Order: sequence, then structure tokens, then C-alpha cells
Amino acid sequence: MAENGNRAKIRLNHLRQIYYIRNQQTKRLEEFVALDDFSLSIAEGAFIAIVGPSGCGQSTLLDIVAGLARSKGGGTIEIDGRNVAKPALDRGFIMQGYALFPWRNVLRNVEYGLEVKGVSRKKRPEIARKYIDLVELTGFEERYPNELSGGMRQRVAIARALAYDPVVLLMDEPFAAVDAQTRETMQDELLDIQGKANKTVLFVTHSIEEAVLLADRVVVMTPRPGRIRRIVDITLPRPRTNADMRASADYGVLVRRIWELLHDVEPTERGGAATASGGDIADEIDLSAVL
Amino acid sequence: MYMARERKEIIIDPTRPQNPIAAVFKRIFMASAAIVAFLIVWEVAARLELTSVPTFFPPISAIAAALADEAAKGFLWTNILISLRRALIGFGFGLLVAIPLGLAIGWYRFFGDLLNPLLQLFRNLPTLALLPVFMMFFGIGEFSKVLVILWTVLWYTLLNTISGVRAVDPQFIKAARSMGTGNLRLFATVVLPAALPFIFTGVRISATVSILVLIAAEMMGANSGLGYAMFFYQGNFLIPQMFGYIFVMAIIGTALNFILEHVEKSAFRWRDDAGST
Repeated sequence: MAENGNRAKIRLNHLRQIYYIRNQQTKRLEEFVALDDFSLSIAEGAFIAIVGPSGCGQSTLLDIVAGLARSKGGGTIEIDGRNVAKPALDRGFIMQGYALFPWRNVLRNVEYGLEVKGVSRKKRPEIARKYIDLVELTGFEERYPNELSGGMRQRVAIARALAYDPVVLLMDEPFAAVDAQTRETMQDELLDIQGKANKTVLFVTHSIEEAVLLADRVVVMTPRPGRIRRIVDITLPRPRTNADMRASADYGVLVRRIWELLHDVEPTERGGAATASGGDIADEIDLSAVL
Repeated sequence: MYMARERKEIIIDPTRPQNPIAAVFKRIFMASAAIVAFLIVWEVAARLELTSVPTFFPPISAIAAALADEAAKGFLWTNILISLRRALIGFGFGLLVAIPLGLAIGWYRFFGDLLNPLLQLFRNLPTLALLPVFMMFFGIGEFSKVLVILWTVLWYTLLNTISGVRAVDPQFIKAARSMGTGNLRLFATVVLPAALPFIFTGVRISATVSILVLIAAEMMGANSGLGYAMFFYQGNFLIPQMFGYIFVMAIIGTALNFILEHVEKSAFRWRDDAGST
């Protein structure tokens, strides 16, 4: 689970995104830098959470990595050393609104990526059922999305993204639309699924607790322009669950530290295993550039 | 544990009544009571000659007898078949033009925006006002009548198809695109199924409207068909026959709408949000 060695599975180099928005007073188009100079190396199987205030370009980042938007600063995305620009099945995208196809039942939704992949009609249901089982929805294959609860829909969306076996999972606030209790259940399940499927994950969230619970590293962003403020290593032992974390003092310390980073409070350094890997973010970027 | 809780959220038809036989009777009663009452009032009023024009107001029983006579002679069936054939041809060709055109216009936003003002203008032309124009150009034969139906069907279906394509949730497109779906597949597996309920609504509305338009067309110039028969009997003061044909048209229109509504409901059950939480 932890990042092993220095072989980067995914490398994001200097991603940048600019929008043009009309100023209300001057009525002129003004440049708005949503994301600026975002660089990150991610080891295979690592779980990276990105936290930041609204409008810090997190979703923009995921769109760029997914290939749905272009980085307008000449930035590049490498997966296994190859440059990628267009969307493809090596990246699985899971959205906040699930985006299940309502005219397809659970099985057919999960099969969608397999169709795109060119998997034969015979093999599709077999593979799809395996992933439906993984998200514990066996027995619901024939149900339509409108017959499922929010939590179940999100599990279908996860199964759909896992089924075509992408290298990396991009998750854009996937649990923001479900209630608090379901959210905790889904977090524990994601930890469990991640343990089984061992995917590299890029996870955007507004919840610090969620980020600390799930991730190996938490990327803390600054707003307008969205830049990396600090990367905090989460050294908490795995497997983790919500229940364990609530009892863990280290967890509380890490949540507090990230909260301070987000609220621009000078971090209070504390000893012990939970201290974040210090160092300025500039070091991190330099390091990844050298590798 | 949470699974058990979520399973319970799926409730299948909680409104289902206890006794199925009672339920069937209730449904039949609800569906027919108002109509039966209306027919009885008509019958009694006509027999007691409560209206000032009893000649023009025959009892239901007389209308039924006239209709049975028409049926026995075969006129009724011939007229129904002729009218339905016209409606079907115009309808079929209308859909063949409207659906592909609507998909294209909806998909290519530029063409849609370019054509929209013209389409709105055409749509708002009263169809019946166009009938004499069609007759001038194409005579009073079959072609004019089929064309009038085609014209009617075209606008309802076309505009619904366009808005259906444009109303596709961008989230669905984003989800499909993120998997590297190409344009053709995106269109076939996302845009088309998402637009289908809109298209079908257009089809259902135009089916009903096309019957109305056909009747009007047959009254204006024809020598066969339901509209013609009704017009003919009215001209010859055979009032029970005239009413008989009016009823037949109402029944055909209602039946058509009923069938299409059921097809719509069962085909697009996924649209029903009743089961969602």
C-alpha cells in the first residue's frame, strides 16, 4: 500500500489551467488561473487525497488528468512513462453525481467500459459480475439506478470504473452527495476495495477527515490560483477503518495539522509518528523533477 | 448490516390493494362510470325530446343501430381502413424524416441555432390553413392528405427530438468520454437512449394530432374515409350515422393514445423516479 521505492506510476508535470471570466464591474474578460504549476509524482498503488477550499482547481485538475480538459500551460501527464493527453481506459473517473446511465441496469452500467474496451459480449457479464460482487451488490444486477439508494449508486459507479481495469482511479468528491452515515460506510468500503484492487488513486475531497482516513499522502492546495501548499504524508498504519481512526491520537494530530495549513495558521510542529513530512513544497517538486 | 438496511429501501408497489378481484372491478368502474352516465343522460334526454332540435339529437340507441348497419354493410370497416392507412403512411414518413433530422440538428448545435428561427416559423403555420395550398399543388388525391399528416407529424417529432438531444445530461457525456468513448459510440449509447423518451413523447402527441388533421383533410376534399363519411351523412341529414362516425373517430383517437401511453410507460420505466431515495 505504501509508496514503494521511487518508481513513479503517474507523473503530473506543471499542470496549469486558465479560464476567462467577465469582471462584473469593468465588463472585461479577465484571466482566472484555476490551477497553477501543479506537479506531483505518484507511486503505484498510492492513494493521494487532494484537499483545498472551493475553487482551488481540484476538479479542474482531475478533468485534466482524465483528458477531458487540456492543460494550457504546456504541462504533461505521464502514466508508466508515456505521455497521455486524451481520455482513455487507463484512467477511471468517478464523479460526485455518479453519472450512471439511467436506461441501463446495474449489470449493463458496469459493462459499459468493457464495451468500449472491446471485450466480447460473452465475457462482459462475467467480468461485470465480479466487480458487482466486489462492491457487494450481487443480487442487484437487474435493478435500474432509480431503484437504488445514493450509496448503492456510488458503489455501482465504482464498480463501473474498476471493471475495465484502469491504472488509476480519479475520484471527484465521490461521497459528497450521500448522507454522513452512508459516507462513513462508503469510506470503509473504499479502503477495503482499495486493499483488494490495489489501484493508484487520486481523490479530491473537501473533507480533511476523509483525506486523512483514506490517503497515503494529502496534497493541501491554496485557492486562486490553485497551487500545492504542502504535501502531508499520512503514516497511519493500514488497514484503517473509521472506528480505528476515531480512537487514534495520531489521526487527530494530522487532521489538525492539515486544518492549520488550510486556514493559513502557522503549523504547530509536534513530535511522533504523525508529524507530516516537513519541507517546503518546492523541495518536493524539485525532487520529482530530478527523478 | 447496512446492506440489510438498504435492501429494505426497495419497496415494490406499496399501493397494491389487498383483494385483486375487487381491484379489477374498481378499475373497470373508475374507467367507465363517467362515460356510462354521460351516455344514459344523452339517451334519456333524446328520448324525452328535451332539446329544441330533436331531429339533430338522436338517442344513443339509434346511433348504435346506424353504426351497426354501417358495419354490416362493410362501409364502416372500409372507411376506418382507408383513414388509418393514410394516417399510417403520413405518420411513418413523417417519423422517417423528423427523427434523423432532429438528431442531426440537436447534435450539431451550430445548425440547430441556424435553423431554429425557420423551424419555429414553420411549426406555427396552422396546418389546416396549409391544406388548401397542398390541394392547389397536389390535387385532392391521396398525396395531399398524406402530406398534411406528414407535415403535422414532422414538427411535433422534430422539435421534441431536438430538445431531447440537447437535454442530455452533460454528466452522462462526461462519464462516457472519460472512458475514451468515440463520437459514434457516444451518440449511439448515450445521446440516443437519453433522448428517446423525448422523441417518443413527440411521436405520441403527433400520432393523436395526425388523426385530427386527417379527419379535417378528409372533410375538405375526399371521396372516402371517416371524415368524408361523417361529412357525407351530415350533408344528407342522416344524423345517427353522422354521430356514429364521430364516435368512431373519438374511440380511435383515445385507443391510439392509450396504447402509446402504455408503450411509453413500459419502455421508459427507468425514467420513473418513484423508487429513488
